[in-house]
Amino acid sequence: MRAALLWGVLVMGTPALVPAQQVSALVGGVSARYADSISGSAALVGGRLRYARGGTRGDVETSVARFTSGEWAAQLGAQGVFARSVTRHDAVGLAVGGSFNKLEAGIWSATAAAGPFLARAAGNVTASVSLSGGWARTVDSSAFATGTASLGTRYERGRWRLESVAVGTAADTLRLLDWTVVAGWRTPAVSVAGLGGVRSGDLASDPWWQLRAEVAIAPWAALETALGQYPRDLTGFTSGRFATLGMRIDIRKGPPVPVRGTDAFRAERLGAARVRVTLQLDGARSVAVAGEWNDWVPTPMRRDASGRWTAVLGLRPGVYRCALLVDGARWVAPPGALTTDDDFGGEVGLLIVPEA
Amino acid sequence: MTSMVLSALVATSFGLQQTDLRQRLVDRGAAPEFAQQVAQVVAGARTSGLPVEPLTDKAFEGLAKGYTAERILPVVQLLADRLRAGRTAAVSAGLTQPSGRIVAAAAEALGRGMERTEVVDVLRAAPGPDAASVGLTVAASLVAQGIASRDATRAVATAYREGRSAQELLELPSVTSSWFAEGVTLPEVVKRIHEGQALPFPPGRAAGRGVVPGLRPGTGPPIAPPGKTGTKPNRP
Repeated sequence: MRAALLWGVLVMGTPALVPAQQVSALVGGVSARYADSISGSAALVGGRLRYARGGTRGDVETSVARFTSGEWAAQLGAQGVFARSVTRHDAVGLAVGGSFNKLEAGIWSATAAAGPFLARAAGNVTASVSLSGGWARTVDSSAFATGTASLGTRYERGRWRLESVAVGTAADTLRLLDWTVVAGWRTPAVSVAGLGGVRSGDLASDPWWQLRAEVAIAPWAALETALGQYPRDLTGFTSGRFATLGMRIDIRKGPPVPVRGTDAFRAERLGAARVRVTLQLDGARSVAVAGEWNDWVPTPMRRDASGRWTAVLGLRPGVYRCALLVDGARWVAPPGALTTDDDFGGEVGLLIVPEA
Repeated sequence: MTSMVLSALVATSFGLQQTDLRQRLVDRGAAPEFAQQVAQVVAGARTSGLPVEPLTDKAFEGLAKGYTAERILPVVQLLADRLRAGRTAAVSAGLTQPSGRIVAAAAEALGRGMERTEVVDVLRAAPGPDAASVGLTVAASLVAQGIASRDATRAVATAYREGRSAQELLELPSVTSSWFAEGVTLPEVVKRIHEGQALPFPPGRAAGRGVVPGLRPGTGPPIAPPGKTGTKPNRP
């Protein structure tokens, strides 16, 4: 019990000691059922610290749970990335990560790994390849070296993202290949993600899936829920199912991940001097875009199947002042665009055409 | 003799340009008198060596938006004055013959409330002419969001001195805009900018992290119930 108390102090006290930019607490519950039908439910208290500055990013997440049967368990996970851009589209870096799980009975398991990665971004697609070497300690006190190689692809478009990650793992005599696909959708208030995974090789298990959702209920609080299945792992845990529900409270809020443009208004390069402009404008019957590239002659936009307005313009990289003519009568700055005064008492948007 | 021929050619070209602009304005619905007045402002700017595209653009913008000649002409004249001030600032920064884009960007920055010394700071920090105009545009955009001009200047100049590219800098207003949209206060936004949080490394920022919502091999289940472990380890 004293160890649990110490862990609780660590969970709640660490935010004050570490220069994290984002600190949040999680209060909730979890229920898990394992392959051999053992199940457990627990009340959960956790903390998360996030740090991002330049190419350095890190997450530390920890929790302590007290089971309905009276025992407790504690978990800690951490990961960090140190990256540097080498060209406009490429980055290299070092990724480190680890986890620690401890039960009241003195049983514990842990993993640690580190390795280099290379990432390349092209348009909406980012691809990465990484290697890592590490160590794992199982719940039955054996330890061995681990090695992984992974290949990831991420595609982002508007509020959607799609990821595919293949990870090959060699650990002691085990050889396995996991492939997971993640689809996510998010707005400023809601984030939903679904994951599916399959494995071949050792520790084989049925395909698994997970669903996760976060809903902001206040600027400082969000509901988090997750359910699904997980596969067997290297440290001795069998596969199973779980469901969690909790409320995350921001104690200190940090920066969001920066985005290029906005969901509402964006420009995509189609060629050296062709750009597709896309925007969301609900309730309009007609929309035309005009700007300094053609003496402010409005170019009609077309509504696509998803309800977004699009137009292809002949523009080279740069920043252009522009505005929308809505329903042939009303001039507005594109919603979501950066704006500036138009010197006539209104606003114009800034259309940023990125370089290839 | 050669200079006389050149002068004649320039004068002819100049006259054609004036006629062309007047006609284009009339074609867009401007009264001939207004078109003539705009053309005169443009001619004066051209004689002074200022870029004239921003002036004609402003006139066309006003016409497109349906403003009256009485409303448009002072705006065009004011912009001409700003362009002069912008060029002066660019020359103060050591650019003997600043490009039209730089002068226009400097004029925009001055128009949004930046001081001449701040424009000079950005121009001196920029690694090249294109970067200079982008830096001024970004700084002006930050000021338009309510960020103090000295903070905007410092952010842009520091980014360039740290080796950031113009392309990276274009991310800055989007990031600050998203912060404001999330309800982050102005002092906090300024603090984050100065801490360098607004410009993380651009490509591959997510890929290297491998952050997948869910568990990965070796990380264990979300919670290990008591008595579960140690009984059936999955070790071979």
